Amino acid sequence: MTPLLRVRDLHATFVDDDGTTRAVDGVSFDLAEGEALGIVGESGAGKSVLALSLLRLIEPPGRIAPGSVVEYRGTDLLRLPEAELRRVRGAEIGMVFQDPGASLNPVLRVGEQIAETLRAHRSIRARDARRRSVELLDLVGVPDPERRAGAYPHELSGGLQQRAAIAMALSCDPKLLIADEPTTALDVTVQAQILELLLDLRERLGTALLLISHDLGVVARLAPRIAVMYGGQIVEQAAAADLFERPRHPYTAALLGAAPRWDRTAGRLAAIPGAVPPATRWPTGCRFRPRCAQAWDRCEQHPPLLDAGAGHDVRCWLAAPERGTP
Amino acid sequence: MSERPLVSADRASKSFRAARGLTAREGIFHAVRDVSLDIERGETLGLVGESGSGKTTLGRLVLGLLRPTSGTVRFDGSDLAALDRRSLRALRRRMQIVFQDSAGSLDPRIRVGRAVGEPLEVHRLAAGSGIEDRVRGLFAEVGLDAALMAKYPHELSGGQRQRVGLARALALEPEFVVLDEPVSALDVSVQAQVLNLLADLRERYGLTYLFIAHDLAVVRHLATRVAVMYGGTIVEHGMGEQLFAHPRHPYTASLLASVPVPDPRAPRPAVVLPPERSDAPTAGCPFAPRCPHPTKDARCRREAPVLRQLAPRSWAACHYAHDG
Repeated sequence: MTPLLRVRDLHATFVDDDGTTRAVDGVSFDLAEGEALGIVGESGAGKSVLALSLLRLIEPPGRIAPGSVVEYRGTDLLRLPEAELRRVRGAEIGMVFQDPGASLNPVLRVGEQIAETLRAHRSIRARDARRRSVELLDLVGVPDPERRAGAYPHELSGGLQQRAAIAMALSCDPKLLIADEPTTALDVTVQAQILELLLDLRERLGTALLLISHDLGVVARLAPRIAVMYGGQIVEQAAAADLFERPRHPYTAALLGAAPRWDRTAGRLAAIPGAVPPATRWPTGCRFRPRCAQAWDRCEQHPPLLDAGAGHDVRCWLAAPERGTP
Repeated sequence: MSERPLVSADRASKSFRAARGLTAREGIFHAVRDVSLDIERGETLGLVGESGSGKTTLGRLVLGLLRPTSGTVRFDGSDLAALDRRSLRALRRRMQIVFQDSAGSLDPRIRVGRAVGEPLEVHRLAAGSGIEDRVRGLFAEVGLDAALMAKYPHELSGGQRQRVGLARALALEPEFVVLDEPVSALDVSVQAQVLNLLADLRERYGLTYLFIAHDLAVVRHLATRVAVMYGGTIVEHGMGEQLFAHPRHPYTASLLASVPVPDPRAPRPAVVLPPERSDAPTAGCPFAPRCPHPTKDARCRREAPVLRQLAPRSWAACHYAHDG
C-alpha cells in the first residue's frame, strides 16, 4: 500500500559565508494513513528544518537538494507547481508550530482566520464558514467558542492560542498534521491539556501525526513509533516501547540516561560529554563518534541505517550483523 | 534547628501596578502574597511553579533586588530593607544569582575572562595578575578550558556560557546562590553536565541554593526541599522525596501528573486541569477555580487556606489536605 507520506534521501542545505550547512542530510521515512510518528532530537539535529522542508517552506539561502523525494499519496511535493502545493498545504496537510503567534494573524479575529482558511480551500459560504469556525473551536476544547471566535489572538492565553492554531490546522480535515514543538512554549499543566487534545483528536478524526519535539516524554506520550535525529540524520527508528526499553544507538541510550525524571531519583546524571557539533562541520565517519563512549576504529566510516530486526533501524556499526548484539 | 536560617522571609508580599492592557484593566498585581519561608544553611530549596506563579519575584525579594511591599526578608539575620547602601553592598557579596541565559547578563563586547574577573575588581579583592590567576582557577572550577577566557560570549556554546555565569557568580565566594532556571535553555545532554556541576560546587563550597525552575524533574534531581508556588503564594512545601512521592496539595498532584515521562507505557494523566482563568479569584483559595479535589466547596471560594503542618517537615495550604 502506498504510504501517506514517503520521504526518501531528503537533503536540505544552507549556503552562506561560513560554508555549507547540511541541516538535513539524507532523511528517509514512511508514514502510513492515520499513523503517528515522533521525531526527537536536540537543537541542531535538523528536526525543524526537516518539518519545513516537507512542505517546501524553507527560505533561501536554504534549498532542498535535487534527488530528494517527499511523496504525499504518491505525488512528489518537491516537484509540484507552487499553486498546486498551496492547495496541499493547509488543506491536506495542516501545520502547528511552537509559537501559535506564527500561525495566527494578530490583527484578525480568531474565528475570521479559521473561516478564511476554510474559504481559501473550500467553496463554502461566508456564513457557513463562520459557523464551522465556532464548531472547530469547540472541537479543540476552547471554552465559550462563540465568544472566543470574536477575540483577537492576544486576548487569549498561550494555551487557548495554541488550541485556536490547532483548530485552524484542522479546519479542512487534513490527512496529516505536522506539529513542530507544539507544547514547548507552554506551562506544564497547559502542555498536558494540549497533549490530551492531540491524542483525543487522533482517536476521533484518524489524522496522521508527525510530531517533532526535543522532549522524550512528549513523544513517548503521543507517538507509537519514534525516530531519533542527530547530526541531520535519523540515527535510530523503532516502535516507542522498543526504543525506550532497548535503545540500540549509543546516542539514544545516552539521551535517556541524561534526562532527569521527576518520578524517580537518580544519583549523578550520565551526562554526554561535549556538545552537538555545528552543521557546517559534521565529524567524518559517525557523527556521534567524538562524544560516544563506545566508539571504535570502524566508526571512522560513516554507518548506514542498519536493519536491526522487528522494524528497528540503527545507524551504528554495533548493530551490524557481523558484530553481533552489543 | 537552633541555628538561625541563612535566608528568612516573613509574610513578604510584593505587588506591582499593572499597566492597562496587560490584564485588560488597570489595577494592582499581587506577584507575591504573604510568603513566609526559611532557607537553612547548606540546603537546596527548589522553588517550582508555572509562569505567573511569583517564583521569580520571590527570588528577587530574597536577594534584596526588590523591596517587599510589606513583610520582611532577612539574610543572616539582617533585614535587607533596613540596611543602608554600604551594608547592603557588603551583604550582596555573600549572595549571587545565575540566570537562565547568561548571554543576557554578559556584555557581548567583553571577553568572558574579564567578565568573570570584574566582580573581583569592583570589590577590590584582587588586582593585576592576581585577578587573572583567580579567573583561571574559576574557569577550572567550572570545567572550562582557560583558552576560552579570551573568547566573547557569542563564541561560546549555551552550556559554556552557563558555566561562565557560574564562574562569575562564584568569584566573590558567596554563601548563597539563587539559580533562576539555570538549565532551561540547555539541551538535555548539556543540561546534565551543568546539573552535575551544580551538585559538585555545592558540595565543594557548602553552598546554599535557591533553585527556581519550572521543570520538576530537574528540581527533584537537585533540591533537598521543595516549595510549590501558585498565584503568588506557597501552596505546599516539604522534603523533596516526600513531596514528589506523596503530594498533599491538589495543585502539586496535578502538576506532577501533567509532566510526561519518557516511558510509552506510563498511564495517561488521571487529571488534566482545566485552562487557567484570566480572572483570578480575589477571595478564597487561588487554586479553587481549577481545583480537581472532590471535596472542593464554598469554603474554598470564601476562605483562603493557610499553610498548615501535616507531617514532620510537610506543609500545605489546603482546607482538605490530609494529615499524617
